[in-house]
Amino acid sequence: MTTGKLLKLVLDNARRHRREFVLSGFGIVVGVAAFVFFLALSMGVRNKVLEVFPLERVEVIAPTAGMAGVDLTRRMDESTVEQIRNQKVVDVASIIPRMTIDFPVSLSGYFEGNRMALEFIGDGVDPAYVREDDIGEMFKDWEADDTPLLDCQLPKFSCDGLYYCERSDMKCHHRVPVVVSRNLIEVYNKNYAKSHGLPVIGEMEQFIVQRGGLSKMRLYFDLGQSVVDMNQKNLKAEPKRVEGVLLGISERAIPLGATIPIGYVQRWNREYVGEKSATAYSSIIVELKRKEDVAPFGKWLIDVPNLRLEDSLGERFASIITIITLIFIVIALVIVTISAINIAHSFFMQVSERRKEIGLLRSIGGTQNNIRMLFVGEAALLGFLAGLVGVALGVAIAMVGDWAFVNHTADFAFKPKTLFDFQLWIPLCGLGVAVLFGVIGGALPARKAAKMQPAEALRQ
Amino acid sequence: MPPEASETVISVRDVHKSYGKGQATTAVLRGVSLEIKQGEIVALIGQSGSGKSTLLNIIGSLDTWDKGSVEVMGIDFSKARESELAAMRNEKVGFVFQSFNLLEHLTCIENVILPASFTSIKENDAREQGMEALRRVGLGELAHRPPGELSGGQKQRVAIARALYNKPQLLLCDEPTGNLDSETGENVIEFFGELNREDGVTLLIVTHEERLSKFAQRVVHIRDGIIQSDETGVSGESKTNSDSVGEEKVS
Ligand SMILES: Nc1ncnc2c1ncn2[C@@H]1O[C@H](COP(=O)(O)OP(=O)(O)OP(=O)(O)O)[C@@H](O)[C@H]1O
Ligand SMILES: [Mg+2]
Repeated sequence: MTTGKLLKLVLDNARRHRREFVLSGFGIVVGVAAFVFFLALSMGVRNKVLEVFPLERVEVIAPTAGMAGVDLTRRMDESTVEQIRNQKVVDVASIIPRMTIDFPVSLSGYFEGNRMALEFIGDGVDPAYVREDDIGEMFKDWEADDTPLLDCQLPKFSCDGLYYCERSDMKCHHRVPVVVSRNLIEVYNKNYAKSHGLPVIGEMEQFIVQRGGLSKMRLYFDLGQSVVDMNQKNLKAEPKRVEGVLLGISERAIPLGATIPIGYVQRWNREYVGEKSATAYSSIIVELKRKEDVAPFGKWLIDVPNLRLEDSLGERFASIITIITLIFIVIALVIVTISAINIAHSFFMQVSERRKEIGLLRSIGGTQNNIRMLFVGEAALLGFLAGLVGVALGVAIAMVGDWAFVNHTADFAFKPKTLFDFQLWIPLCGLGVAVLFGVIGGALPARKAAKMQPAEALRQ
Repeated sequence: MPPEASETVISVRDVHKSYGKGQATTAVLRGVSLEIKQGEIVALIGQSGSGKSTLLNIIGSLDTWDKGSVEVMGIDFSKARESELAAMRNEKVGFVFQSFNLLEHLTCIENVILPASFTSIKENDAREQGMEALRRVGLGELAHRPPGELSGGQKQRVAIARALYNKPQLLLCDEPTGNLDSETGENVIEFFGELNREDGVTLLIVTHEERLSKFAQRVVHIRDGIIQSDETGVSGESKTNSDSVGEEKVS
């Protein structure tokens, strides 16, 4: 029997048994719809999470360690960076050492006519890594060398451009360049701006132009002063105010804070805390070339004393999502399995009803295998059609869900435009599952039909 | 009628068959031997339950048996593979049943070419061949009607066209006129005679009907699974009247 002829017989029978088809295929439709829906949902959410917390970006830290009151915490410095650079286990795209400010700093500025002050959460990185187009050469340590500074212009203690007058030495210093992460802007827009009646920041560049350029993006660092803790203990220098300028958004900025060139942090730490603080990195961000490299890199790191990977949020979220997805897939598969049993039941009835037909087909030259393939084919077709409807239903529900989600839930930080990601493999898998379970359901009845004794089947 | 020298089409030797096990065993065939040569028309008669259909089905490779040997058109059933037997049923043997066994969801022509489902012949060629068979039974005009719209006699002719589709050498018929009135039955019988004369088709016909058994050149009488008489050239009436006529409407 050729495939074409089998298909013709199968289609004829499907047309004849439309009603049974619809009834027994219903479960597959529901199961596959659920299967496709949840897979696309979890892929969508997972993508969003990994966009915010990329997996291939890992953070190496030195956990606090101590024994008998002796601090054994490893200090990470240039040699640690070298050690990571020289390992042969994985290819690294970049190694970015970061240094936090080890004493209190408060950050303030005027925004929409209000003075706003908050505890500075931030760190310093090597400016070489901050190279976004709109930031360019501005993000650097302006006082790294001994270039002579201009004197302040009297009587107004003014300086040109992005320079400010430092009263203690009456010199014009460049404002400390500051970059923030896109995430911080997102959180500000969604969780802060609206509730405080402040403008939402769309495109950062545009926003800066609208406000009157970089000269208006002025910030104040109050070194040695805290908004939260008023009693400052044994700092080595007196509190001092330094001016900064918010340049824009950088990939390399700390996720929920601000980042400045590491040279400033080193000088400030030296001045307020001491030399030790000025040479130890707080963490080293390692960007790997591929996601798959995370595990081998982590393994390599285990053998390096006193260093470990900071738990990646992305990884943690991703595994939670995977678990939830698996639960839903199991539920979908249970539905489909029940449906397969249903199909088996319906097909067993069909086999009894079509006993004489089976006998006839055998009498005109059908083999056992032909009969089996006929019923398996019908079950596969049933699965396929139900799968198509199921996939369509899943996509439709997802579209409705997306619409409701986008239009009828409150805006929040990182709110995606769509919750779903229908990669091609998802509907294909859905169809595959549908056909597979259709065939599983049809297998035993098909076997029964094939094993039927033709004479018995033809009996009145 | 073909000459004596023609070759053997059916050869059944000492075939036994029973149903059930142990105490409940019922023997249906108890050592049946039968030889049928090419071109013969053989009527198989006997009481209801005597094993006629069982024997016919065994000869058609539709049923199993317990003991003895069956050889049809040179194929030894005990040695043949399933696919070989299926091919034999497809190409060399035609079946005609009392209840027609037409598929109601197909048209007449589609029913007739159903055997082509198991071969690789092209759909169009099959239809042409099928139309030929339908015209042969005089139903060319009804080709595209569903069998549900046909009379009993017409249905049986469609079923015969299906049996003839592959131009078989052997036609196995189980009470082919059992569901037909006497006139349409007569037509079918005449048609069988024509097939035998023109195409040399061998016919084995299970029947209750006197007319049909008279028409056969050879009448085999089976009783309780044993062949009681096998008479050539004599009409079966003298021997079997009482049995067959009395049971006519039972099955
Ligand atoms: N599957 C079965 N299980 C048990 N007994 C069976 C089975 N099939 C047939 N028989 C018995 O075998 C015997 C012969 O049956 P068969 O159909 O060959 O008779 P028949 O001569 O064709 O009768 P009829 O003229 O009524 O068609 C009957 O007694 C029947 O009851
Ligand atoms: Mg019978």
